Amino acid sequence: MKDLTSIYKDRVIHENLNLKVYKGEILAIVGGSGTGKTTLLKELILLKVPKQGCILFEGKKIDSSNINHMRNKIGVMFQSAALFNSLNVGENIVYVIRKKHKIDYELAREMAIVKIKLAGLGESAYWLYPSELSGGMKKKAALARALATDPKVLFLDEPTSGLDPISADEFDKTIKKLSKILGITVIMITHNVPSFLIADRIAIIANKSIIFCDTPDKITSVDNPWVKELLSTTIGKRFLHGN
Amino acid sequence: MCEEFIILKDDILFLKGDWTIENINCIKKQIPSNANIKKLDASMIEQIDTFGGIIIFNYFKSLEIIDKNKKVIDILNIISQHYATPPKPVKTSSLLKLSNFLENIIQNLLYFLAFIGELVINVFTHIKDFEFGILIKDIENNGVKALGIVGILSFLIGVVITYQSAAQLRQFGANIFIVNLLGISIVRELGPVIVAIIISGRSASAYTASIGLMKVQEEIDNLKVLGISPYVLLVLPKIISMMFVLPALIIYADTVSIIGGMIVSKISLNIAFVEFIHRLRHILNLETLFAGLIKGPFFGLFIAIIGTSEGFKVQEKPESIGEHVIASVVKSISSVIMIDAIFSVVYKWIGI
Repeated sequence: MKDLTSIYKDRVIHENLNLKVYKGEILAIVGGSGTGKTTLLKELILLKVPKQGCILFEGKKIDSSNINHMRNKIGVMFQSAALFNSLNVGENIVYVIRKKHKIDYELAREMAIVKIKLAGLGESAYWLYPSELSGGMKKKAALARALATDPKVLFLDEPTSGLDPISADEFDKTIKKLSKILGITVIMITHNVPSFLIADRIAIIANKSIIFCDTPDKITSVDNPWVKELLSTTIGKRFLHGN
Repeated sequence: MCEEFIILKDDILFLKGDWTIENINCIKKQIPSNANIKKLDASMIEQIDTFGGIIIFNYFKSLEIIDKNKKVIDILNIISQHYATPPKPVKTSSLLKLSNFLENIIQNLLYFLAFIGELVINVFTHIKDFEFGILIKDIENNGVKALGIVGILSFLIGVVITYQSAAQLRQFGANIFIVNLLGISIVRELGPVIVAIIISGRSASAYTASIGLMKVQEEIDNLKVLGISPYVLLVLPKIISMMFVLPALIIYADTVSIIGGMIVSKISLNIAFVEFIHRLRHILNLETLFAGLIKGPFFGLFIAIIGTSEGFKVQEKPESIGEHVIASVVKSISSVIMIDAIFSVVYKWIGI
């Protein structure tokens, strides 16, 4: 993104944000409540048009004329999972595959099973409807759907919110594994300190701008009250000591 | 136009290009059949994703891979670890479906009776939780705010019935009988049923959605924990308001419908307003008015109980609200028609 400025109801959310994401990396975007992390994600996937600045994808500026070029190569997992409730988990994935590419039904079904298992669910989840899934299973099903067409970039909005610590840890490991084996670039909005451990870089949003963007081990150098407070929490201290 | 993805040379199959989702259909077309292939060379594959991987896995997994393209091997490992035959949906027999259907009906009926029982017990034990303000608010929401839609639709029904009947009656020189037709059919049957159907769609769904949302957000549980009966606080005012509002709306709808019919009678049958009203006074006796109006409280009672009971059925998942809203509207409209049929039989017995 280049010189991105966002305004919400006459309030400036971000001002001149610049951020480069490298191929194959996991980037965690972190910030306090109300810093506009989700707004930023929506602007990155062009669900919201920024007031100023632009999004570049594979070096090309993305606007309404070539938006599908980008959308065919990305996968998004929304905070609420956003599964289609009228379809079962398998159909959620098959629908996405066949809508984007004219692929025969049987192959799409086979791929759906692979993606369901890759996301950490059992194959029996194929026939379950979203209303029959627990919170953690919903997140995994949403991840499987986001991976449906082998995206080059995966956007995750608070992927571990609402999960218990064990499920959250398991989910983080799955994301790390998938990024590595499928070579996917991951952009992840998160509040969850343990999730920082799987990130190659962390971008911290505060005071309407990105105040830090570097590897997790350098986070202690950040001179910001919110970051200092975050790192002084029990979980923050554990993160600093690497356990 | 597809580029070349597969080359067969002697007994070796050479794979090349981008084995990715964009090219899957072209790749599938080029898969050789019945060829004597023994080995696979994937060294010329430039890009591969899981879609390319699953094609190799499905068609060539028995072949020896002579070139170790790391990307291809990694993807094939992923596929082989996570591949499974898509499970078949569990098929249920027609008999089982029928028994499930019947079981569902019985369960719904039992739930409905249990809900009424719970309501009655709570009314006796927690009547102190009743709030008059909520009742007034419900009367405003279900009655005053529904005047617009009920008025427009009732007027149009009066207009349509008169227009449709006018042509027939004119043929027999029986123009004046439009008043009999309109008066009896609207006051006795159509007015109450139309109002009840509109209110079923409007209020029963709103009751289910609002109580359902309270259930999802654990507000109902919180009320119980605070010792407040949700039945008395939320359900009872809705039932009382519906039982009062429905008859009032029926009178309003009957009046508006007849005004609509009267205007059309004047235009197409040349019946003067005074003549129309004079004849209407002769036709509409107390019995006819009673026969239509008495249905109102019964319709209101059932619409309110069905709407609220479906709301209480909502589980802790927001998506179940939609299912119960649909059920609530379908059940309340069906109950309106059934109650109307019961009234017809009863009227026949008692000779009204």
